[in-house]
Parts: sequence; structure tokens; C-alpha cells
Amino acid sequence: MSEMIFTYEQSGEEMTLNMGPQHPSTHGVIRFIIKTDGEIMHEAIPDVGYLHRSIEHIAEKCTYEGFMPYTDRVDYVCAMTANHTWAMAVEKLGDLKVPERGEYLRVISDELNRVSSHCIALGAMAMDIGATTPFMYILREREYINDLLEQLCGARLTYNYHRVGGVGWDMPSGWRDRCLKWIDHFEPIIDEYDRLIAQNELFIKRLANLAVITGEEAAGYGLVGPNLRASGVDFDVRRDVPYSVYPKLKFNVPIGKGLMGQVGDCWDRYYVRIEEWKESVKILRQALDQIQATEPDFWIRPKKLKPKGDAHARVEAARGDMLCYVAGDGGTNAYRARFRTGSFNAMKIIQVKSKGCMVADLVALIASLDIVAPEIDR
Amino acid sequence: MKCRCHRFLPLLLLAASCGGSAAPSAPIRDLRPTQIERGDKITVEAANSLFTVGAPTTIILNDIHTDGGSAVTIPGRAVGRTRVLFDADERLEKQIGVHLIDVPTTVTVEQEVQGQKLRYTSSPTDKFKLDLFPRSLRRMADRAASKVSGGTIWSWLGLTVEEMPGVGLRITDIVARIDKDDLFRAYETAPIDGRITAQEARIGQPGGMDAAEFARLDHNHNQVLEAADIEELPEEDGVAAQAGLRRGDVIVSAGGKPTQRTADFAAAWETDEPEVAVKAKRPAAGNAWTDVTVSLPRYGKPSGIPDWVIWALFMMLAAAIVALPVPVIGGLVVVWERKISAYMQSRIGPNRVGPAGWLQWLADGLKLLMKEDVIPTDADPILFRISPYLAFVGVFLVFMVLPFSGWLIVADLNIGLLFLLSVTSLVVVSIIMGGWSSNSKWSLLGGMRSAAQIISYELPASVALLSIATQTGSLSTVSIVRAQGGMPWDWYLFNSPFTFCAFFIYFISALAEGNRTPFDLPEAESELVAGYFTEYSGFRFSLFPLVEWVNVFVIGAVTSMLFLGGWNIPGVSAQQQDANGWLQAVGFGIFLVKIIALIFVIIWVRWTLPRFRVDQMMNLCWKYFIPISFACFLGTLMWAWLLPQAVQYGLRFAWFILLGLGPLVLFVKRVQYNRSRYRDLNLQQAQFS
Amino acid sequence: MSDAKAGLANQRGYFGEIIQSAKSIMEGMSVTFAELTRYVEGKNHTTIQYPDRTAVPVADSLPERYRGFLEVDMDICTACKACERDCPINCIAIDLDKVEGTRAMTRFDIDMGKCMYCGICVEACPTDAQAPSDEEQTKCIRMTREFEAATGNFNSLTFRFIRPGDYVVPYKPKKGEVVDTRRRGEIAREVRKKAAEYNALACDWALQNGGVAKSGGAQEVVKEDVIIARAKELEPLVRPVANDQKGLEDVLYNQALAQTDCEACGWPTCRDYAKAMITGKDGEFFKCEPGGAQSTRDMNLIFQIRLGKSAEEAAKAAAKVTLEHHK
Repeated sequence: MSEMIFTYEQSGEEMTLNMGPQHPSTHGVIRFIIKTDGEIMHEAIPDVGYLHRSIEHIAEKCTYEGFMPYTDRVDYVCAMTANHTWAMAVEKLGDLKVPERGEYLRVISDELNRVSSHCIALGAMAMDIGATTPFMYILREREYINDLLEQLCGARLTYNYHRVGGVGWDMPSGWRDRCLKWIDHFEPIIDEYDRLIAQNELFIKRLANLAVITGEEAAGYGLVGPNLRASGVDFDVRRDVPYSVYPKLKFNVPIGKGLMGQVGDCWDRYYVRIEEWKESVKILRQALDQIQATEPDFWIRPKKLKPKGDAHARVEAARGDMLCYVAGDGGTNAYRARFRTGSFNAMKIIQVKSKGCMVADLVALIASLDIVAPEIDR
Repeated sequence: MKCRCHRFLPLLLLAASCGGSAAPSAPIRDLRPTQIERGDKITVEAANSLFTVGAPTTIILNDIHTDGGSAVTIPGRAVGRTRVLFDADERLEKQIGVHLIDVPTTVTVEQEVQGQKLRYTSSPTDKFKLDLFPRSLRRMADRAASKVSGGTIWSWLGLTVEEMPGVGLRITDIVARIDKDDLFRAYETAPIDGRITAQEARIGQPGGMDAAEFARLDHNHNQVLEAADIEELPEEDGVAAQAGLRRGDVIVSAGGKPTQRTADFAAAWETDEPEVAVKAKRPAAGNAWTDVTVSLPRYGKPSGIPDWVIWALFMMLAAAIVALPVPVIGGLVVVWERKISAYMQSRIGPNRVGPAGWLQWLADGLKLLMKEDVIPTDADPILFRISPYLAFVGVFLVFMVLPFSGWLIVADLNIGLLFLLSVTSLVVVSIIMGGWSSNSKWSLLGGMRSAAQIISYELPASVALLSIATQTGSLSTVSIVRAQGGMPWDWYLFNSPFTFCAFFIYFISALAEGNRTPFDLPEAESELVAGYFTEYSGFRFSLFPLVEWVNVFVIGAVTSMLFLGGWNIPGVSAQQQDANGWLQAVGFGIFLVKIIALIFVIIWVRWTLPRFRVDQMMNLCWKYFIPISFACFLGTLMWAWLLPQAVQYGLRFAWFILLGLGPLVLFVKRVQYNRSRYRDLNLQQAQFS
Repeated sequence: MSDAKAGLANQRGYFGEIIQSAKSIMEGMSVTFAELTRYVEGKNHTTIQYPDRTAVPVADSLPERYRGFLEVDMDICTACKACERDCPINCIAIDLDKVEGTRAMTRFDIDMGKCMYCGICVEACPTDAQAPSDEEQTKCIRMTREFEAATGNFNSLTFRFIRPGDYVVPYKPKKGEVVDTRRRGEIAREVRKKAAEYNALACDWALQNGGVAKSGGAQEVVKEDVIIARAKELEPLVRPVANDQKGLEDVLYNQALAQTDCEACGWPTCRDYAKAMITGKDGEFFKCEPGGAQSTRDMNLIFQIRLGKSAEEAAKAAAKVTLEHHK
């Protein structure tokens, strides 16, 4: 139970293990080629591309509006922010206005989706460490969010809620109250997950001091979002590159403090997401309060959308800074579209950090980076 | 190791009362044990309360098959209103022999109460008979087996002969009964460390042994008989001995033809007659010979089924009685686990198959049986196939020594705990065999993890058990349970703070040996897919999880037997419980309740905790559990040695309050706090249509 | 890995770790036990026993906006083809043909096996409708709460709203009208049931009508004999009204345009588009999307003939434009 010191030596024979593409804890279809000496890994080489679906090429073949449902599939765990990125990019390109109510609805749906995405991340991480019940409890909360989003836009996973120029639907009657009711339910039990798993000594021992990523490394490898913040780098697109109505909302940006081990270890990456839950809930309360004062208009539907030029938009997705670049040539389709996502960059650091870890640690490392396979490959 | 098989099937004997004005109607029900040895406490049991405690009592065994008399009178003492005890002493032994098997007898109990003589008599038609597996039967089977394998007339007759040219065939050895029990008596009472020397055997003296006999038994040729030497002796006469032949006789003719060679005898044997008349010369006093004529039967009793088959069938039946419930137990534990885990995870759990889903295991098992049995091309074809069955053996054997109640135990081994520790570690062989033979790296990793884990955690588990064994002074599971009591403060759990600690060490180590969370590394599904049984499918696959869940039951049973008082009923002494069938049933129920509670805890732990990493698991064992378990062991000894008994007894109650109820109260408070944090929530939109 | 001793986990000693482990394990177990007690009280059944032990049919418990199967109320469909046009994956197929002198839909198929339930077609639909017991307005094409699409036969997911061989005359709505329609989901259920039957019919129908080749595209409508025959057919109609704006408008409207007022061309009605073309406000003679290649060919023929060209010349020019815009 005390900490373990590994001396990494190239000794004896190396065994090559093939983890994936079908493996319970690769969170999708990813493959790792692991070189191990018994339990201790010499290297884990990620092999991506099993889920490549040419999303960017599809964007060139679809109309601007018609591509919106495809953005759901860029990151299916957090589809709202992908919607948001595409909508923002096209709006910038076509110089379109979004009504204020539409912006608030976007923020509310984004934050709800962020909470549910972190639910998956934290639950799956606990499950990979071997605890099954936290996954169930957290997924239960995610189901409530899904219920809310389903009432809002009709889908539970691939929402297709945001539109170029606004959002697809206004809140249905009574939805705001139900949303607040859920927040009242959710806030007090966030620390239940702490008691159940995050503060559990076994869990801490598994994660603290494991795969420590320093701030420089994180920035150097291009980690974004919670992974970056867990390494102590205080950067959040919502605050530092403000968009939508985020400037009107007050929230903190949680960063990793090395509470249990060192700054940037797996436990920090776990806990930063718990903290983000609390911040998201705060944002939701404010947004649900402020939205009452807005005009009823939520979508200015563009008449003829044939923009020229190029534009890009950045959105703080659940897996970090999601960037979309779009260029138009005056037609109804984009000339070129490009997505930059968080998971792909996170893959690179796995190879570096896996040295000297154990096979079980690789699972924890992958889970702590909150990787979603289609977001890597797109 | 001397093993006395207790009968676990209760004796069902009903005796009608015998009439008579002076004798009250008295259904005496039971005489136990039916196989009497010296030193046994024998009870006579009545169906309802008859006997007067404290009154002078005698017991008469009537019509007993003894050499001289027809009734044996023994002094007894009434220990309850239904039970009379008497001791099997030498006198009784002399009179009725060692065993009381299949003896048509009546039992009469006489009491003198306030000057009046009361007689209680059982029905004369009853036989006190219940010896499921007597020693004689086993020896018969042994001999029958050798008869079949030898296949010659000599082994049938039980003779060894040598040719004496010109005279006949001299019998050098013959299968004949020796008064082996005399030998054993001598063996046990021998002054020098349990051996029989020539002097003790009283060679040549009246009642003593024959010198040739002694030499023959002395296999080591050191003029000393050992237990193994005596054990080999036949219990009954062979065919030749029954017919009247003795060692040293010289067979001169058979069937009227002279027998100079063994071939002559064999030729004479080939007749159609059922018997062959044999003439022999027997050495008499001096150099004289006397003629002996006997007739040897050519074949045995007209029994269709050989003895050994019956014996084997009987063994299989006995094994089935013990073995068949085991998969059922495993299955029920599976359903119990699935239900509990569902309740904890706000799910519903299995509720479709059978009443409330309790037959789900059957559906799962049938499904697995119907699956294809895939064996990977590169897997070792033999080891891959047998390893699932081996896994079963280790867990299954534990059921031999589990005392489900005072009567319900297959074998009360005096090395019970040692046996238990040894057989549970057999599982590792099968796991590593399965992991290695699968020829898959994931399986191999799982197998290696399991080997390291089980072997490491054997140590703290054994040392923790030692603390208990030293308290009892016995390794027998039954005596460990007997040494505890029904009340919680009589349990070994609260015996001292050290046994309290040993409980946790044993329990957690047992979890590790059973590959249960948080020690489920060998089959960690998020790391190793399914660990050592990744490549298995179908029926072979189903055996591994089955073993795992039976193991959960075994962990619960062993822990509650060692630490939680086993089948003891609160407020009832072990002696009282032994005496009453109903109390036995209640004890069995209490034991089951304790097991189920422990299984619940095991399941609960599994669905709460994350998994250890390999190095942490080994750290926990070698850095924490082994030192602490040794400290507990020493502490237990010191505790028993330094503190007066009375203080120990007094402190037990304090430990119960401090270590048992204290944490319980704290825990309940935490649960209440957790419950206060929930809000009930239903976010469904208003129902439509 | 173990240099820094900052974190709490590094500061606990031998016995500190034991105590902390015991405490945190008890803490965790109290959480799971509390949930267990809640189950015993019947308070945390989060899951339901789909599909056979639910309080109400699951489809009925879904929110109104749920995006399940698509359905089309053929009674109020205007055949504007807006849904077909906006569908990002082209899973809707609508055929417009002249049947007995009127323009009618002969096919309205939605391949639900291909559909990604995005709902963009619903937004494109111009025909507002109100279904009973719905809070919100819906459209002629709309998503329902029916969702059980599991099937052993993939064909049964092709929803055919017009029986193969039958036809449906488009509905002509009044401006701003919200039409009453049937309860949502009923049509989807019916169509789902009939899908297997209709698929066989569709196969027969296609075979009888010469298979898929007959339905062809631009190549078919501009075949030399076809286009010249059509030009000769139009010639007597156009010549007399070559300079009569109203007359030419009628010819255009009746002979070339789809008459669905779908606004795909950018004009509010078909007559407006015809007027704009004649007055020169709109010079693009290929924008009638419901009419497709046939419309483009006829429009161009009419204008070529109006310029005074012979049937052959007009056919040549019209064929060129048609092929250019309808590949």
C-alpha cells in the first residue's frame, strides 16, 4: 500500500501484448501495442485510425445546415459542444447573428452535456480501476440529464440541437423547473462520489503519483481541457477566449492541485472533472436565471447561406478546446472544414508516460485522459 | 491419522413399548453410536421425556450376540429427561465385542426412583443397525479387488504354497483372521511409543501370538510391529482357512489325485463339481502328522454383483450426496450476488426465471451448456481440457470438513484446518494450468497473477488460523466450533483484540485466495479481458465462475465456523445441542444465516471497492498482513498465557461492545447521513395521450 | 515517481495508511449500503423493465419532441420535395409524375434503415399541422415517438407512404393554414406494418414498368425522339401566345412547372416564378426542383420556341441546358 518505486531497466525478454482494437478498456476501437516485461511495461504504442470516417470530407459534401447532425458523431459523448463549434464557425463565416435566448440555450445545453460527458469519464475511470458501482450511480445522473436533453431536443445522444443562427427548439413548458429540480438533486450528492470512490484509499493508491504530466509537458504535447488544467495550467476557453454568453456568467476554473500525489497525476485528472461538475452546475443556475429576461426569439434562420472566405471557432468541449475551421467558396457546401479535438493529442502522451508503468496503470492512464475513440479518428 | 466416521444420517429407529404393569410404556428410540469402541460415550434416547435425572440407572442390552450370556447390564446415568449415558468400558467390550453392528437386541433402561423400579424397554423386533461403512466391508472390498486382479485359484483360496517334491504342496501363507483388535489394544496401550515389541506380543504365552505369526507380520524385520503392519492384516478368513486349512499343512491330494506340483492341483481343480475334496497332512506334536480332509468350494456365494462394485457404488452415492448440492449452492450465490449488486446499484436485478428470479442460475447454466466448446488451435489439448475440472476439486474437498451442525459433517478430521488450507490452495494449480495452456498472453498474465496472489496470501491466512487453533488446542473443525458459544461475546471474534484482528486478516486473505474484488486481478476484466479463462467457452468456461462462487460460500462458511461461533445456538450448550435433533436443525439454520450474512459482506465489498494493482496487492500481503498476523499470533498466545481466565471472560464482553457495537453505531450514523443527502427525482414529462 | 512528498497519500505513515484505508472503505460501504436501504424502501428503482413490464408503453412515456420514426400525412402533403432536398443522407425519395392529366406523387419512400433521425426534413417542411393531444405544432412530415426499429429484415424499414402503383394528388394549402392531422405515430405504425407487403409490390411494379431504367434521369427526358416529340407537342401551344404574357404564363404553369408552390426557386409561388421568367426578372430556367429535369427541359423548350426557333433547334438548346443542370 505504500508507494512503489520502479527501476526501469531493459532487462530480459520483452513480450509484445496486443491490447485492442477490441478490448474492454480502450474506450472504443483503439489499439495499443504494449511491450512488457511481465507486468511492467516498457512502452505502449497507440495505434489509432480504426474509427476514421472522413467527417471533414463529408462536411465538404453536405450543406452547412446538413452537416450539423454529423458533428454529433465527432464526439458522441459530448455532442452539444461539437454542434456549437460548427454553428459558431459557420456563423462567423456567414456573419450571422444569434439571438440572445439562443445563446443562453446553447450554454445551458453545453453545460448539461459537459456534466453528462464527465459522468461517463469518471464512471468509466472508476470502472477501469475495478469499481463497478460508481459507474452505475454516475450513469444514473447522466440518465436524468439525458431525459432533460431529450425533452429539449428529442434525442438522448446525437442531439443535433444547435442550428446555424440559433438553436432548433426553445425550452418546452416546465423544462426550466425540471432542470432546476435536477440541479437541486445533483448538487448535494456530488460529494457522495467523493466518499464512495475519490477519497477511497485503494483508489488513491492506484491513481496518485501515477503518470504525472507536468504543466510544460501538457502544454508541449498539446493537451487541452481538463487534462491540461489537471497539470496546473490555468486555461479555459470559456474564460480566456470568451464566446457566447460566458462573459456574463461567473465561474471558477478548477486546476489540479496535487492534493493526493503530485500535480498532474491521474488522481488530479479525476478530481478536476469532479470540480468542473460543481462549476457547470453553478453556470447552469445562473444561465437558467438570466434566460428568463431574454426575448422569445431563439433562432434567426439564415435565408441564403452561401458564404465566402474562412473562419474558425473555439469551444471548450468536455474534452477540451475544440476548434473548427471552415472555408467557403460561395456555394452551399463548405470548401474545407477541419476539426481539432482533445483526444487525439492525448493519445501522444500515452506512449511517453506508459514507460515503467504496469499494465493495470495503462488502463488508468487511458481512462484518466478521458479518450473517446471517434474523437481521435473522426 | 485416525479417522472415525461419524454417521451424519440420523438414526431413525422407533421402538414400541413393551407391555407390563410395572413397566411404563416407553418408546426408546435410539442407541448411539452404533459402533462402539472403548471410551465411547453411548446414549440411549427416548422419544419423549421418561427418565428421571439423578436416579440410579442401569442399561440392559438383551439378546446380544455374546459368547456366553444373553444380556449385558451396564451402569448408566440419566443426563436428561430423554437421554441416558453410559460408557463403553472394557467389560462391555469383552462381552459384546468391539462392534455393535446389526445386532437384534432390545434396550432396557432400569431406574430406581423413590424406591420404585421403573423399566423402559424397546421393542424386541428392532435392530440397532446403522453402520454405513464398516471397516469389515472395506476389507471385504479390498480382498475382492485382489481376487479379481490376481485371478488365480491361489488368490481365491487365499493360499501361498511351495512345492515339496515327493510330499505335496506346503502352505507357507494363508489368508486367515487374526485377533487384530487384540493387537490394536496392545498397540494403543503399549508402553513404548505405540509399537508392539515381541515381549508385548507375549509370544508363545497363552493368549499371545505365534512366533511365526509375529515374524510374518514384522515386515521391517526389526522385531517390532508397527501400525501399518497390523493394518494390512485380513479381517476375515480366506476360503481355504474357512474350510479348515492352516499354515504349515501339506496338501497331498486334491479330488483324489496326488498333488506333487502346483500344476497337479490346478488340473484337479478343473472339475464340474462345486467342491473339491482336499487331503492334507498337518504337523502334530513331535514329528507326527495328522490327516485332514476338507472340501474347498470352487466358487463363492452366488452373488451377482461383486463386493467392490457395491462398495464403489456406495462411495459414489455418498460423494453425490455431498457433491450435488455444491453447484446449486454456487448458482444460488450467483443469483444472490446479482440481486444484491442490483439493489445497490439502483437496478432491479434478475427477476424473471423462477420465483423472483431465483432460478436464473439454472437458465445461465443451461445456456452455457449449449454453447460451443471452442478450444484454440494452439492451446495445449490436454491441460486446457482438464484444468476446469481440477479447479472444482480444491473447492469441493473443503466441503468434507465443513461442520454444518454437530451431526452434519462428512468427516471430522483431526487435521481439519490443515486439510482445509491444503486443498484450497489446489485451485492455483488449475488456474495456472488454464492460464498457461490457453496459449494466450492475457491468460498467462492472469495465471501468473493468480499464482503469486494465492501463494502469498496462504501465509497470513494460515497464521491467522493458527491463532484460533492455539486457542482451541485442536485442528478439528468440530472442536473449534464446540469451543465457542452461541452469544457473540463467546465467539472467537471477540476473544481478544488479537483474534479480532486475525478475523480481518483471515477474511481479507480468503478474499484474495478466492480471487474476489478487491483482489480480482487474475480476472480483471478491464485489464486482462477475462484473465486466465479468457479463451474458455461453453461448459468449461462455466466451471471457473462456478468455482469462484462456491468459493464465496466456502469463505463464508469457514470464517463463520472459525470466528463467528458456527452452529452454536445462543443460550444452548454444545452438549444440549448434540442431544437433540431439533436443536441440530436450528444450529444448522444459524450456521446458514451466518454464512449468508458473510456472503452478503463479500458481495458488498465487491460492489464497493476498486481493484488493487499487482504490486500493491503483494505489498499489502508481505508488508502488512504477514507482520500483523504474526503479531496477532503472538498476542493471542500472550493474552491466553498472561491474563487470568476470569479476566479474559470479562473482557470479552467489553470487546464485543467496543469492537463490535461501536463501529456498528458509527456505520449506521454514516448510512443515515448518506440517506439524508438524496432527493427523490422524477424528471419524466407529463404522460401523453 | 516518488520524489515529491506533497500529496496526502505520501504523508501517511504505516499505521496512518491502515487507519485511512479502514475509514475510507467503511465510508464507501456506507454509501452502497444506504443505496441498498433505499432500494428496500422502493425508492431507487431507476431502471424500468423494458419492454414488457412498464407502467405505460414506452413510446407513450417519451417526450413530445422525441425523434423516432418519420411519418408523412399524405393527405396534406404538397409534394414540394423540400424534405427530400434537405435530407443530408438522401434517405427520402419522392416521384412526381403526370397521372391522368394531373401532377401526382407516385412514390414517397423513406428508408428508415438509413435515416439518422436528425429532423432536418421536418424543419424544411412548409406545411404546418396540428395533431390531436400535441402541445406543439407539427408538420406534414414529422418525427414520432415510435422507435422500435429492430427487425430481421432490413427491407421492412423502407417506409412507403404511397402504395406502389397508386398515386396521391398533392394537397393545396391556403396561406398560413394550420391543417388538422392525425395523431402522431399512427401513420408510422400502419406504414411499418405494411412495409413488407409494399416492398414486394414495389418490386413487381418496378418489373412491370421496365425496372429501374425507366425512371431514369436527365438522359431519359432529353433523348432525341422524346424531346423532339415534346417540342412538337408544345409548338402549337406556345406559338399563339408568344407575345401574350398571361397566355405564356399559363402554358409555363400548366406544361412545365410542378405547381407545388415549394419556394425552392426562391419565388413564393409557381406562378410568380413563371411571371419572373417571362418578365426577365429571373433568367435561370432550371430552378423547379420538384419538376426536376422534365421541368427544366419543358421550360427551355417553351422559351426557345417563343424565340422563334424550330422544334429541332429548340430541342437541341433545351437538351444542352437540361444536361448541364441535371446530371
